[in-house]
Formats: sequence, C-alpha cells, structure tokens
Amino acid sequence: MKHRLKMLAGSALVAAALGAAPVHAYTPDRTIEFMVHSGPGAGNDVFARSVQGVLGKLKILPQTVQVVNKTGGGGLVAMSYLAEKKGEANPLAVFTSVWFVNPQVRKEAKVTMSDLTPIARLVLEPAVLTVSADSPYKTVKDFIEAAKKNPGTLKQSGGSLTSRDNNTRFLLMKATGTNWQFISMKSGGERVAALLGGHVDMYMMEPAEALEQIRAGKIRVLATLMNKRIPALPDVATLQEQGYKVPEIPQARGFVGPPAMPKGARAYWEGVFTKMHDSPLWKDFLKENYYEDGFLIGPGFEKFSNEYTQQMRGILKEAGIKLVR
Amino acid sequence: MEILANLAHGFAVALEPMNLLWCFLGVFFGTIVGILPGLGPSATVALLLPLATQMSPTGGIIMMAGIYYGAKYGGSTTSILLNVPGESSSVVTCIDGFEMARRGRAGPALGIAAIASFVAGTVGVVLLMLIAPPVADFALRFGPPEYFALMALGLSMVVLLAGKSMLKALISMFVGLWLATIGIDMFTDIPRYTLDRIELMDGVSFVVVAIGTFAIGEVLANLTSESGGQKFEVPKGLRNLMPNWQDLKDSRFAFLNGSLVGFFVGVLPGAGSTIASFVSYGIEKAVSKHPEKFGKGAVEGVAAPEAANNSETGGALVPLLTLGIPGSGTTAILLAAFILWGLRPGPLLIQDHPELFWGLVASMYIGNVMLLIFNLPLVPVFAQILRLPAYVLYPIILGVSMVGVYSIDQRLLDTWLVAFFGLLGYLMRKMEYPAAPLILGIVLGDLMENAVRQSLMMSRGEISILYSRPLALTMLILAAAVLVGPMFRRIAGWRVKVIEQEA
Amino acid sequence: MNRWRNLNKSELIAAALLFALGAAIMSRAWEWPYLAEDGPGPGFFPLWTGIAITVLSAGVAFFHVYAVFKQQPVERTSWDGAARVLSGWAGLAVSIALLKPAGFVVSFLLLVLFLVIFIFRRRFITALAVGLGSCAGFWLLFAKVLNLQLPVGPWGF
Repeated sequence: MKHRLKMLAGSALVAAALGAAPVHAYTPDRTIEFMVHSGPGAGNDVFARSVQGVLGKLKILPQTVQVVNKTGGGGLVAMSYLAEKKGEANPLAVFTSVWFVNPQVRKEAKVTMSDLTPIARLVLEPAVLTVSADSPYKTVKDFIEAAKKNPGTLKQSGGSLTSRDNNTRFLLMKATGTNWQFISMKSGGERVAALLGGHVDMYMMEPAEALEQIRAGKIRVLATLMNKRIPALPDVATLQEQGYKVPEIPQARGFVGPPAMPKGARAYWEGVFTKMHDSPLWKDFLKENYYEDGFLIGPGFEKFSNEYTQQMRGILKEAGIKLVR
Repeated sequence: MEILANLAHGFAVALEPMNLLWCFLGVFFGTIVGILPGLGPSATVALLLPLATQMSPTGGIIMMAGIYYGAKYGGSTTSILLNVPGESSSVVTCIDGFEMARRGRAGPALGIAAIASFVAGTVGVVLLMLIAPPVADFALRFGPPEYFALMALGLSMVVLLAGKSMLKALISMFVGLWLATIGIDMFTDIPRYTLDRIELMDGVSFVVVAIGTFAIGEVLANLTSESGGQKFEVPKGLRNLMPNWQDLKDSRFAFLNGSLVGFFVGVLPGAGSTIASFVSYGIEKAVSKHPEKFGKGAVEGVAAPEAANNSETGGALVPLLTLGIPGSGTTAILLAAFILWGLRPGPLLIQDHPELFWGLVASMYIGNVMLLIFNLPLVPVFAQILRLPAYVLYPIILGVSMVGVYSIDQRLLDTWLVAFFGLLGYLMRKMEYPAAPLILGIVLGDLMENAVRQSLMMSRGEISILYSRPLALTMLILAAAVLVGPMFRRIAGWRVKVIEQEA
Repeated sequence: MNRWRNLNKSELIAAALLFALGAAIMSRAWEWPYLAEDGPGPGFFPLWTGIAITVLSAGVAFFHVYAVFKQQPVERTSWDGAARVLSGWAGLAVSIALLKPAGFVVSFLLLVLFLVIFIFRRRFITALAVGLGSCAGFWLLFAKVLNLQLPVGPWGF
C-alpha cells in the first residue's frame, strides 16, 4: 500500500514538473535581429544599439545581436515585415508610440500592435516644454496668458500631427481654452534651430537635448510633460503640478515579437530583459539618457497596450484626426 | 593668437599614429564609397556605426569625417567618366564633366575635380575653424521664409540648365516638383499619390531618381550601338591627363564660388550638398563671360559644383559642433555616434572637449592633403577605366546601381523604381527633355513647399512674410536676376542683330 | 509637297502623355484641400504642378506643330536601336524580379549573361568570364567587405 502511494505521489510530482516546464525551452540558435523602424542614427536606432551594447556587456546571450533598419511608413513597413514572420522567434523589433498610433490613422496599415507579441516595455521618455532664453515667458502661465491674449499667434515647432508634441499641445489648449500654432518641421535639427533663432516661441524637446542647451544658456525649461519630475532637472515642475489638468501621454519604447511567437521564446526574452533591467549597467543607461524606468512585461504590458491605444484614439478623435479602424 | 595655439594642439592630436591611421582609413574608404554610385557617405557612416562605438571618440570622429569628405572626392569620378553620379551631390558634375570626357578631356576634368575638392575642402575647414560660432548664429536667423527664398534661388537655376528648349526644361522641373510631393503630407497627414501603398508613404528618394535617369538611362541609351567596344578616346601621355594652366586659370572664380556657397548652404540644417552644387553651378554660369560653353564641357562647370560639395562638409559640421544640431543626414548619424560615445554635442562641446574639435579640424587638413595626393596620381589610372569595353562596363554599372539603391533601405521597390526611372531617362534623352531640372525639382520641391507652408503658418496667411525680411528679400532678388538676366542677354542679342540688319 | 512630312509623331506623343500626366495629377490634387487655415493646403502645390505640366506640354505640342507648319527645321527623333534598348531593359526588369527568389548574385549573373550574349553579341565564354568575374567581385566587395544586406536566394548567397 505504502509503496503504491509513494509511486502515485512520485508520478504526480513528475507530472506536475513536466506540466510546469516550458513547452519548448528556447535558446536562440542564430544571430538575433533587433529590427528598428528608423534609419541609422535616429533615436530608435541608438536605443536598439544601446540595448545591444548592454546585453553584450552582460553576456547573457548565446548569439550576437544585429540591428536591422527597416524604414518606411512611420513604422508600418517594419510592422508588416514583423507580421510576415508569424510563428517565429526572430526578429524582435523596437516599438515606439507610433506603432500604436499610426495603424489607427493609416488605412494602408495591415498590422496593429494587438497582432504582435508583446515582450517588454522598457523605458518611458520624458519631455520638457522649453522656450528660448531671451523669450519673455518665464513660466507656463506666462505663455498661456500670452496665448489667451493673442489666440493663434504663438508658434510651437514640432513633428507630425499625430506626434506626442501635437497631442500634448491639443490637450493643453483644451484645458486652458486657448490656441496656438503648430509648425511641423521635418527634422529635430530644424525644430531646435527654429526655437533658437526666434522663429517659433516654444518647443517640446527631450531632456538630453535640453540639458545641453540649458548649460549653454540658450533655453529655459518651463515644465516637464510627464507626471514625475526628471531627476536631472529637479526644479522643473510637471504640468500637473503647475495646475494644468493634462494627462500625461507616455512615450514608450520596448520590444515586441512576431505574431504567435512561441511561448518558450517569449518567456526567454522576458527573462533576458528582466535580467537586463535589474542590472546596474541598465540603471546607469537610464540615468545617462534621462529615461524613466518603464519596465513592464506580461499582463502589465498588455494592459498598458490597451489603455494607451484607447487613450490615443480618444485624443486623436477629439483633435479631429480621422481614425480608420 | 589663441586659435593658432589651439590648432597646434589639434595637430598634436591629429598626428598621433592611431589618429593618422583612422584618418587614412576614413578618407580611403570614403573615396571608394564615393566612387561607387548609389552608396553615399551616410550609408557608409551608418554601416560603421557599430565599429565606431568601439573606438575612442576622437579617432572615431576623425575616421567618420574622413569618410564624409572623402566620398565627395570620389563622387566625381564616375560622374565624369560615365555620366553616373557617384554620390547624390555629384549629379551636377555629370553635366559638364561627362561632356569633357566625351571630348577626350576626362583627365583634366578629374584633375580639376580633385583640385577643386582640395581647395574647397581646405577653405571649408578654415572657415569651420575661424568662424564656426558666429556663422552658426547667423544660420539660426534662417527661418522658413529664408529657406523659401533659397529654394527659389535654386529653382531659378533651371533657366541656366535649360539648353535648347526652355519649355521642356520647365516640364522636367515640374515633374520633379510633383515627384517630391509623393508621400504623406507632413502638415495634414494626408497621403498624396501613394496609390495606397505603404512603401510610397515616404515618397520617392531622389537618389533613386538620379541614379535611374543618369546611370541606367545612360547605359540604356548606349545600348543602341552594336559594337560594345571601347567607348571613348583616352588620350595618351600624362600631360593630356591633367588640367593645364588655362584650366586652372579659368576655374579661379569657381573655386571661390563653390567654396563659399557650399560652406554656407551646408550650415543650414536640411539644405544639403545637392542644392549647394546646383546653386554654385548656376552662379558660375550666370557670371561667366561665355555661358554658352556650359553644358558642353566647360571646366568651371566641373570646378564649381565639386568645390561646393566639398566645402559643404565643413559647413555641415558647424551646426553639429557648435549647437548640437545636425545639419544633414550624415551629420545626424555623426550625432548618434557622439551619443553612443556618451557625449552630447551642444553649444559647449568645443569648450568641454577641445581636443575633439581641434583634433578633428587638424585631421581634416591632413585628410584633404591625403586625398589630393591620392586622387591626382590616380587620375590617369581612373581615366583608363574608359578603355574597358562597354560589354564589361555597362553591366557593372547596372549592377552597382542595383546594389546602391537597394542599400539605401533594403527595399525591392527602390530597385523597381530605379529601373523605371532608367527607362524614363532613356526616353527623356530621346525626346530631348533634360534630366538635370528633374533632379533639381525633386530635391528642392519638398523643401520649398514645406518652407512656404511653414512661413505662411507663421504669418497667419500674410504673404509679405516671404519677402519682407532682408535676408529672404536679397535671395529673391538674386533669383529674379538669374531668371531675368539671360533674357536681357537675348534681347541685347536681338537688338544687335536688328541693328546689323538695318545697317 | 507635303509640309507635314516633318511632323515628329514621337514629339507629339510625348507631349500628349505628359498632358495626360498633368491632368491626372490635377484630378487627384483637386480632392485635397486647396487652402488650409493659414496657407496653402496639401492640394495647392500638386495642383499647380499639374496645371504647369498640362499647359507646358500643350505648348510643346503647339510649338512643334507651328514650326512644322511654318516649315522651320525641326528635330527628328530616331528610334534606331530602340528594340535593343528595350530588350536590354526587359533583361534588367527580369533580373530585378528575380532578386527576391534567387538572390542578387544569381540574378545579376543572369543579367550579365543576357546582356553580353544577346545585346553585345559576344561569345558565351566571354559572357561567362565577365559574369562570374563581376559577380564574384560584387559579392566580395559588397557582401563581405562592406557588409551590405543584399537579397539572398535559397542557396545562401
């Protein structure tokens, strides 16, 4: 009797162990590709290479990583390409907010974020609202008052209509009942030059850029757009703190995988990125680049995905931009 | 003088053996890349980004800058020998350079290109060294209305590129302007002429159009002849393979013109070296005493654009190194390299890292000398390429074109487009529609439209913003002068004829 | 004496095609806003380029017909050798179509063979030499040394 019980218990244990083990334990067997939707040198590309660098130094990967650029369509080409690799474990792609937004507004898009396998959200990018150092506006309030007095005359430089700059502008205009112009410019260089040259009154820029300009005394930072203050700019209050009921629009970066990625591969990468996130090298990276730690995997990431998509759809619709899905 | 002391320090850095090696590798590699059509400096610098991150910042930037200006030297080679632009800004060099080659003057053309590149490259470095910060501040005063005026000046050059039929040149230009509108409109997010295809959302790359119409078009046009043998006469004897004193004399102004125009246009973020070469070519032709020689092998027509695209590299580094703003595609990649090295270029870069700036400046001097030493003796060697029989040369050109455009974005669509534009280029040649205005249109169209719309948004619809500011007004007057000038000459010519007839 | 003898049909056809292009450009541009809040809208520039192309191409046709009518000298377009050019181009097109399935090296090799044998009429052995030589050179330079990503066929290159 006892013997049989032991056997039963033993088999139960084995069964449990087998059931709990990953279906196929995965390790990469060839060069890993990190796909990036921008050209070399752009923000995404640098991010991917930095991740590649950190992973390399930590020596957690059995294969080398190659960064592949697949530009076009504001991310849509990369998304299409990733979707073609359905069921595979390679390549991974770096996603940013445009991956969420563009498929909602472009009917050429055949793939949305919900089709892809979420792996990890890694960072949130803060942004700051800046004016030129010789501008008369010392606080956001000054700027808004001036906008109220002369609606439609103040100018902000920025990128496309669906960019975070413009969405934040829209929310801020709505919250304060004012409006000012948005002047789209092709490259970051032109936008900063327009601010420094006095052709526009305000620009929302990345903290890294801003810090250099502040050091040189060329600009003044009036607010930070996220809900948390930036450690490197401790005296800059957030828009919320300054009384503006503007919800933060997260600008996230992370990794996704092809649709129907094998569970083992997804678990593997979640593990890798968790290890990377916990390492001091990563913490330094976040600090040097002024990123907010936005680490999310699994259900937390999926929840973010849904909430963010809904948030963006709401804002875009209100701003009058047509949604195609 | 402080500058001399800094420069001396810079030379000390640049002459360190490792840095010399990086400089040599950079310029050497850059020349090769420049020679190969389709591969430009930005693609190469991008390729080397992973390698560069392993290097020290000074060495890395020396090498990458070397590739950048080295490519400008090499770009003229295939432009002159084969009417195939090696690098996007070498399109203009094709115009007179290839004509010179056809008349047996390939050697002098290559030589003048090398010399012009050297002079202008050096001038560019000198200007970078001496007046970078004030020039950068001046460039900040260029807002959308000034960009519009500059583009208008560029487009007015079509008058000078016209050749026989002005109507046909204008049609080419307008088709180019139209091609530039393909893609997603930046201001309203509306797709224009994209046929609902994702790949066309970013528009048609002008590199693809240039290589298609010039390179592939040229090959196709030459398939008509049966022989497939050697194309041109290559004169023997070193004397005939180098520019003579007359050439150098004629090009004096072109060197100056190209150097200055290239540098200043390079400083403007977004402007680019293609615009610089067109504008300096136009200015050269406009002030020349014998403008009818342009387009038929005028040596100044090679010297001016080559000078412009070389000093443009010096100019493009100005906003990067003094303000942290990248002025062109290649400098944007350099900026990324800086970031990967943990540096943040900004207004204080020169102060914080003088060895980087001065070391780079010094190495650019050295690099330009290296390139001159390379390129001049190689001129006779390159000229021998013309001896290759067509059946070897042309397939190679086609192959390099395919590789070149594919390497831009790894898209098959680009290879299809280049074939399409190749056919178009052949047809245009047949029907005598000039290709240069097409390129001019597609390069400037985007920038011009954006500039106008940005300006009018800034002024809330007031058109006067476009001509009320002094800088913009000056350039618009110049543009008008360029447009109207040739007409005066023609009218003066008629009047002379009438007087002669009456007499 | 037929004064229309000199009429260059190709010239007129080209002008007609351009006219059609201009009209097509205009018809699409019409659908987009001509003016936006403060300035030209997305339809403005394309519309004007379309108008310019239609007007100018009509002008080209008109001036040509006028010149022929006035018996002034006009250009003749010679289409000699066009068949060879088009075959050459067709070869290029096929080669591009083969890029994805067969990879660059094979497609290019086929293109070279086609051009050298059929267009330049050289011996097969010459074609093979040029083809293999250039393919090898390309592969070495681009794929190996410069590390560009070229289309790769099922055979690994």
